Amino acid sequence: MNNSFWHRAQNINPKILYVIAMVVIAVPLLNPRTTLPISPNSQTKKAFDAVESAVKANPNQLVILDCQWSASTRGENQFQTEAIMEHLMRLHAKFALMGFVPQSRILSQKIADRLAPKYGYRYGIDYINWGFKPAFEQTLKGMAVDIPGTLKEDATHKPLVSFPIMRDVKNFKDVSLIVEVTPSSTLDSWLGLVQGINHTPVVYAPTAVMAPEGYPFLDSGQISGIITGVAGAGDYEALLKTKGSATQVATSLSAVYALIIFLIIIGNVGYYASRAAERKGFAE
Amino acid sequence: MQHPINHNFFTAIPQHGAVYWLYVFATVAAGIGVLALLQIIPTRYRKATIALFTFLGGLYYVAEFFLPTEKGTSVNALTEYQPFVGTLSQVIGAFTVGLGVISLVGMHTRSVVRQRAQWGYSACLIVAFLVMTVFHLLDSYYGDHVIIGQGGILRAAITNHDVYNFLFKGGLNSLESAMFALIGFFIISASYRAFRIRSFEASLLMISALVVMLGQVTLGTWLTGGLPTDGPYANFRFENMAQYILLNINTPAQRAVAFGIALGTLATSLRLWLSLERGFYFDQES
Repeated sequence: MNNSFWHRAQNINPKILYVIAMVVIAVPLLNPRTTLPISPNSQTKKAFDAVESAVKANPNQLVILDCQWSASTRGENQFQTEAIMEHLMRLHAKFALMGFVPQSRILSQKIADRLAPKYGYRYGIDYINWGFKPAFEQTLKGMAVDIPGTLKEDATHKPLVSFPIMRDVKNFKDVSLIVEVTPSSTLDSWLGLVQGINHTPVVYAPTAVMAPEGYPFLDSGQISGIITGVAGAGDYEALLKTKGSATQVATSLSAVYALIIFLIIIGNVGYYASRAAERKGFAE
Repeated sequence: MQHPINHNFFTAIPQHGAVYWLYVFATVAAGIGVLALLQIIPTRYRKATIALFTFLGGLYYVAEFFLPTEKGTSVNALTEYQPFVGTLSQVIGAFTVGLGVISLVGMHTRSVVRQRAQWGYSACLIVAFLVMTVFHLLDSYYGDHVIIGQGGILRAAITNHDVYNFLFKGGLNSLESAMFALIGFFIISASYRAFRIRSFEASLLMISALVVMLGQVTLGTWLTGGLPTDGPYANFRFENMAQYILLNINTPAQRAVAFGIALGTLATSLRLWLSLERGFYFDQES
C-alpha cells in the first residue's frame, strides 16, 4: 500500500475536512471584525439601480417581492430578501410579499416584522403579505387581469380589497417592479407571462447555483439585475452602506472558497507528485 | 386599456361569513361527487372523461394565447376569465394536496398496523404530521389564546403559539436548513476528490470554475484589488474574468440548453394535453 506523503495528500479523511470546514465557516461568523472589503459586482449594481429607478419613477405603484423559498435555502434567500426589503423600506416603497411555497408566507413575514418598526411600516398601508398560493402559472395568468380577483385574500385571510394599499391595484400595470427571490426555475414564468406583456422590470435574486440560468435574460434586457446568492446579498448591503448579516456570511463564504481552492491544489499536487514518483519507480 | 370586469358566475366577488363556508362546502361536496362518479363509471369512459377535461383545460390557455387581441390592448374575449380558470386550478391543486395526504397517511398507517420493516419511521411521520397540523390550525384560527400547560415547573403558561413556534422554527426550519447545509460539506469533500487535472478539458473546467468562484466572492475582489479598474490590466481582475466567462461563454451555452428544453417541453406538453403520454394512468387499467 502506497503510504507516501503525496498519496496521503490526495486522500485526506472526510471527517478531518468537515472539521476544518466547520472552523473556517465559524471563525468569520463569530468574529464580526473579520470582514473583507466588499466591491459590489455589476449585476448587483444593476439590480440596485433598477429598484431605485422603478420606485422613484412610480412611487405610488406596488413592488412585488416574490419569495419562492423555504427554510432549506434560507442561508442564501433570507439575506437577499432582507437586503431588498430594507432597500424598499428606505425608499418608502409600497410592496407586496407573495410566494408559491407554503413556508415563504411565514418566513418572509418574519423579516418584515423585524424591519417594519425601524422604518415605521404599517401592514395593509405600506406593505401587505398576499400569502401562499398554489398553481403558480395559472395564478400569474389570472393576476395579469385582476390581482384582487385572483388572490382574493391576504395571508391573514382578510379580503384584499379591504386594505388601503390595494386601493389602486388592479393588475400588473399597477406594479412598478417584480423582485423574484428563488432557488427554483421560476424566472421563465415571470418573464413569459408578465414581463413580456407588461414590460414590468424584473430583478432576479437566485441561489448561487441557479444564477447562470439568469445571464441570458440579463444579456437580453429581460431582467434588470441579478443578486447572486449570499455574496450578492453582501454586495447589496454594501450598496445600502450597511454591514448586516449578509456581509458577515459573505466573508465566511470567501473563507470556504479559499479552503476549497487550497484543497483542490493540494489534491492535484499530490496527484502529479505521486504519478512522478511511480514513473521514477518504474524507471528504476 | 383593460376590459371592465363584469361580476358574473365566472368572475364572482369574494364571499364572506356563512356564504363563504357554503361555497367551500359546496366545492368540497362537488369535488367528492366528481371523484365518486369517476370511480363508478367504467374505465373506458373514465379515461375519455379525464382526457376531455384535460383537453378543455389546456384549450382555454391555448385559445387565450393565440386569439388576436383587441387593437391597442393585450386582451381578447377570453382574457377576463383568467382569474376564474386560475381559481379553478388552485381548487384542483388543493384537492391534489388532500388526495396526497390521504394516500400518505393511509400508506404509513398500514405500515404501522402491519408492523412492516422500519415501521417506526412511519409512526414518526404520522405523529409529526398530526401534531404539526393541529398546532398550525390552532395558530391560524385562535392565535395565541389556547393554553396548553401552566403551573408546576413552568414559569409561564405555554400557549398553542409557543408549541407551534417550537415545532416550526425549532423543528422544521432547523432540520431543513441543516439538511441543505450538509450539502455544503459534501461539496467541499467532493470537489477535493473529483477536481483532478487529468485532461485538457478537465483543466479548462477547473480553471474556469476557480475564476468564476473567486470572481463571485469578496476574496477574489480582494486578491486582485491592487490592479487598476480600467485599462488592459483590469482584465486580470477576478470579477472581470468571471464576468467575461459568465456573459460570453456561459450565456450562449445556457441559451442553447434553454432552446432544447423549450422544444422538449413543447413536445411533452402537447402529449400531456392530448393525453398521448405513455404511462397515462388509465392505460395501465384498461
